[in-house]
Amino acid sequence: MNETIKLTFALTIVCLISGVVIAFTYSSTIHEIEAQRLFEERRAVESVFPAGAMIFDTASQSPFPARFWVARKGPVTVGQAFLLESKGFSGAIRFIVGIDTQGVITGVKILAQSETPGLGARIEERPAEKLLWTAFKASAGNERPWFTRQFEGLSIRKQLSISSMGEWPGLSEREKQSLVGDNSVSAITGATVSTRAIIDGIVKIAARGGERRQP
Amino acid sequence: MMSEELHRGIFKENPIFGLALGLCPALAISTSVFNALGMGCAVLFVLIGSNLIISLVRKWVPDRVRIPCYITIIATFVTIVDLCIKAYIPVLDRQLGIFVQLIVVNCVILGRAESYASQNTVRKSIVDGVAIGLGFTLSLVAIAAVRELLGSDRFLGYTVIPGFHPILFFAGAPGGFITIGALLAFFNYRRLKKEKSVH
Repeated sequence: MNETIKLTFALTIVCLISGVVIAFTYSSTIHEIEAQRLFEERRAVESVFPAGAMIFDTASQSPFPARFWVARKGPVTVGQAFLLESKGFSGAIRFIVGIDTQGVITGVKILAQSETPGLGARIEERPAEKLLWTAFKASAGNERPWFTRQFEGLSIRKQLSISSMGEWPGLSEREKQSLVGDNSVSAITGATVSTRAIIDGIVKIAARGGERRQP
Repeated sequence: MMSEELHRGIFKENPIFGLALGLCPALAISTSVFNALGMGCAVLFVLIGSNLIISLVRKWVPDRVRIPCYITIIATFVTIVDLCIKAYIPVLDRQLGIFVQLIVVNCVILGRAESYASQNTVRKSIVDGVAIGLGFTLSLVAIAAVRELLGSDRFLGYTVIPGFHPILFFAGAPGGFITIGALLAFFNYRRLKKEKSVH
């Protein structure tokens, strides 16, 4: 009996201290984490719209898509952005897609994903055009991720498909042009599921009418 | 004493190549040097922290509940690291994802708690944490350097040889196994040879 009490007491103390420490860390980092999330979201929305547009945040009435934004230039609506969630290889991929009034994709930006590092996680990989030794001289390039960049200019009113031409950074200008002509994107090697997830998300929003009317 | 301990942690008792512990994260996140450095630093912090606290409470924790106590202490440090990475280095958080939380079950850390920190003084345990943590980080970086270079022709995200067609095999898990295997063989071949020449 005495032994039981001793063991319970020891574990309780350890857990109590652990709980207090974690609670303290949580409360001192949660504002920063939340701010990071909002900042990323805002920047993502801005990046999928043409520069200089006024962005209006709209709470969606229906559960899908969870949120969307409307971009206006003066009184004219120039595009909309949707927050989408699609099932990837390991968990959900959250991303924002911007579509103009003609049904042409103006940008795709990944917000959160938990894909396999080195494979599916490469949906966010930036093209490394700079050589290693130039890194010491110039600051790192602000290139956009190549995978999502391929979507720009494709239409949601036509069939979106995956091409097996090889990865986008390795293609010639003519091959890139032909991808746009075919309304297709190049897949990431070894990560077809992650590639599909993004396309499926966009197809789903296209099926829902794509360009929603202003609320 | 410090340099001796460092030598022990990095070479003789190197967690990955010497003791073959912590192979799961070594395989999973060693696709790029940046990820390896981030993961290594996270493990280094957790290891120093848990070694410090465990050696502090080693006489006070009853033997029969020591493992749950150690795990709670380790999990506390991992949660702190995880929250801090999320708040201050979001780029790394997006790359490492779930693997930061999985440090809790990294056997290197519980291994050091059980076999070292629970039997040694605070000072020695901290030194051990630094040594083993650095050994782990350097091993991860070594594996990642090979895999990133061969698998995507990059180092820290920068193209190394322009026009070289990367061997994608090395970016995947099979390539990871082979890289770890080759480095393990190389490491132990050297060690065994040295030991033989001593006898």
